[in-house]
Amino acid sequence: MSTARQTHTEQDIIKVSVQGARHRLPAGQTLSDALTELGLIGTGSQSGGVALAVNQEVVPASEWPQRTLVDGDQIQLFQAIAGG
Amino acid sequence: MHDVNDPLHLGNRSWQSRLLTGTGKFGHPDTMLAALEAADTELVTLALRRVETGTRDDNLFGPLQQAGYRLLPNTSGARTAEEAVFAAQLAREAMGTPWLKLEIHPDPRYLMPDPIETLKAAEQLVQEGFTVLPYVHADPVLCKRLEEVGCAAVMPLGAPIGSNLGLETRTFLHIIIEQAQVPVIVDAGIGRPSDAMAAMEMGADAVLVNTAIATARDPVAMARAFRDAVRAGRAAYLAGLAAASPQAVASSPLTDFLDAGANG
Repeated sequence: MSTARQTHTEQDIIKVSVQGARHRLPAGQTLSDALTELGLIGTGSQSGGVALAVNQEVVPASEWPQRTLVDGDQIQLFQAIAGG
Repeated sequence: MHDVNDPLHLGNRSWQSRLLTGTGKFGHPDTMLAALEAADTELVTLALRRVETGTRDDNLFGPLQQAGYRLLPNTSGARTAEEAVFAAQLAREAMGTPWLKLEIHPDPRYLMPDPIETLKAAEQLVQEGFTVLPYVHADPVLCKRLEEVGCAAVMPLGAPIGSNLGLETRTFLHIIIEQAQVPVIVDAGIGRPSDAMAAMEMGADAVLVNTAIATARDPVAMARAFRDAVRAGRAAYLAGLAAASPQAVASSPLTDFLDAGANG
């Protein structure tokens, strides 16, 4: 996918869905980058109690920095809350 | 004090407390933490929810972990086995534990657990290495089937979730307790400490209480009352309940000393 282009074209942009909302992101962005950019997860330490799935598959937090997003990815973030 | 000679063997470890506690419906996280402490509980339930952009719920995970509680994530919100398995995998990742309260209730009005989906999900989750505690109706046959597929316990309901109606399923709880080879944890419907005590007197291995504590006027004091009730019920069970009789059985000797003077 990553052709050496000097200018941003449509091919440099991917469309992903985060919590059901559409976002346009630069191609090649990692999951960690995207979460930080979208303000879903603070940079640095993980707060714990959260889990994330891409296309309905759980992605462990340890893999977020390596996982490169591709066009059409659906990201869902979950959080531990009170419950019985 | 706990009876150190009577631990609850559940999953791969022993527990001193037989009162599992939910974390829902408390007015404030501080109240919840104080109530859990008063309950002297060790294993507490949490749920999982999709994060809504721009809002963050109170972070309970950190404080609960710091306080040393073991977490029991639930799959509340799952309506099918497939959804429950997904929720379980997310919960394991989010909370760092393979322990799971498996609950699948498609109907929002009565929150009745779906037995078919629950059995299906339980079988798969056991194979995936989860310690599965399924929330089910008080169905002795289903409880046996869940035990056979490797569940670590069964959690039959006393009455609908949050109803505080008590042990409406008493007859069937007796059968489940008699037959089970895994711990029986009575979950849902326990509204009063006396309900919890009754379940423990029957031989339940533990109870799970949430609403009755969280929505009491004084949740901390109510947590303490439940703690004491569970201990008393367990102690009574271990002591062996005396037999019931439809007729009076005198506790004092029925000698005729009152008539003795008249005759003499």
